Amino acid sequence: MDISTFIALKKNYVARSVANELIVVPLTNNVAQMNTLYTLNETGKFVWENVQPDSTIDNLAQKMTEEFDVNQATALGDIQKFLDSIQTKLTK
Amino acid sequence: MSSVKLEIAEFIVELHSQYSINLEQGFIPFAIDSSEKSADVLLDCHLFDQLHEPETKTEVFDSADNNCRFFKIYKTADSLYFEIFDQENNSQIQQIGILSADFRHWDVYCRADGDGGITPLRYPLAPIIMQYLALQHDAIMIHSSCVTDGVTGRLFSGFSGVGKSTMAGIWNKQGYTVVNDDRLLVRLQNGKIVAYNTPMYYADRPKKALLNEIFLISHAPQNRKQQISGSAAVSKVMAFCIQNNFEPVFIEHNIDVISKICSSVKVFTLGFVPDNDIVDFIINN
Repeated sequence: MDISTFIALKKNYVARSVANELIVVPLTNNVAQMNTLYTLNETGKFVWENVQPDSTIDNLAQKMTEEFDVNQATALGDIQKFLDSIQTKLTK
Repeated sequence: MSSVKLEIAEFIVELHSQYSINLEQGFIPFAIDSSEKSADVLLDCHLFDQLHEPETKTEVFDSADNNCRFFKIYKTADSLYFEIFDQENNSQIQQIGILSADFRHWDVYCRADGDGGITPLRYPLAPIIMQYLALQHDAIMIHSSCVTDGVTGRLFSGFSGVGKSTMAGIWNKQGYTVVNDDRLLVRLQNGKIVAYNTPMYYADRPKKALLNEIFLISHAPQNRKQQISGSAAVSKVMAFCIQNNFEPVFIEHNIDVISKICSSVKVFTLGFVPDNDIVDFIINN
């Protein structure tokens, strides 16, 4: 999933930090999605909390290198891996 | 003018009407006489013909499944507007409930009973009222059963059909008190976690239990349990809460309350065989 799709889908969810992870719950107008909620690990939490409407994957990765002990290439890989892993969940 | 005061989960629910207020049998044990306790939520109850429809309302939530329609929620300029459907004749509106913006006042509209009185709390309105009361406090409502020996309270939650009532029945046969086997209101009270029953379609006295353990249950070929914590525990418990997730603040409230509960109470996943051995298994493992 690309970052702009993620930004658009993210608006339909509410996230709350619990310990080092993030719980993500869909806003919904019916009972069907009540049990559809996710927990995100550290990378997912970082992306979720730091992504802005105008974010690119490159500037998110840059920000990640400033906060964690990772290089740009690793950060890019981790972010893309997160976006791919969450695609199925957010587009259900 | 008639008035009724109910104490449910240590919340005071006060009803007023110009008509005689009838209570279904499940509510009668929760009625109190005390004039000292002030209301946590007030209900003014009327007949349908006294309803003034709001000029505009926007549908925000539809509580229906494949089998039944329970209620619809609309937003108006300054309230939430609930259409509650008759559970026996699902095309018919049974009550209209209008909840004020501060969630402390309901106007309830319904039909007259044969005796000229009204029964404003007919299911499913009462659980809805408790659910929105819980949103104003450190409290949640959850699909679950709960048993206690007076010291240790254990709550069993899971999807429909996983054995919540069966589990409660097994413990009951061994002398434990069943707080309820379907729906609990859980509150944080002075640092303690307390599970309460709420009025059901049958009469039962008000009960509560200090909660020590939560089990997220499923059927399994043999008994097994595993403790979980942190976000895993919170998200799994939340999945079984009674919730209308059309407002971010509702979701945030529930996550925050469940986080507090899960930091005080042990949470386990439990696969179980539905026989008497599960009691010893839980106590001894």
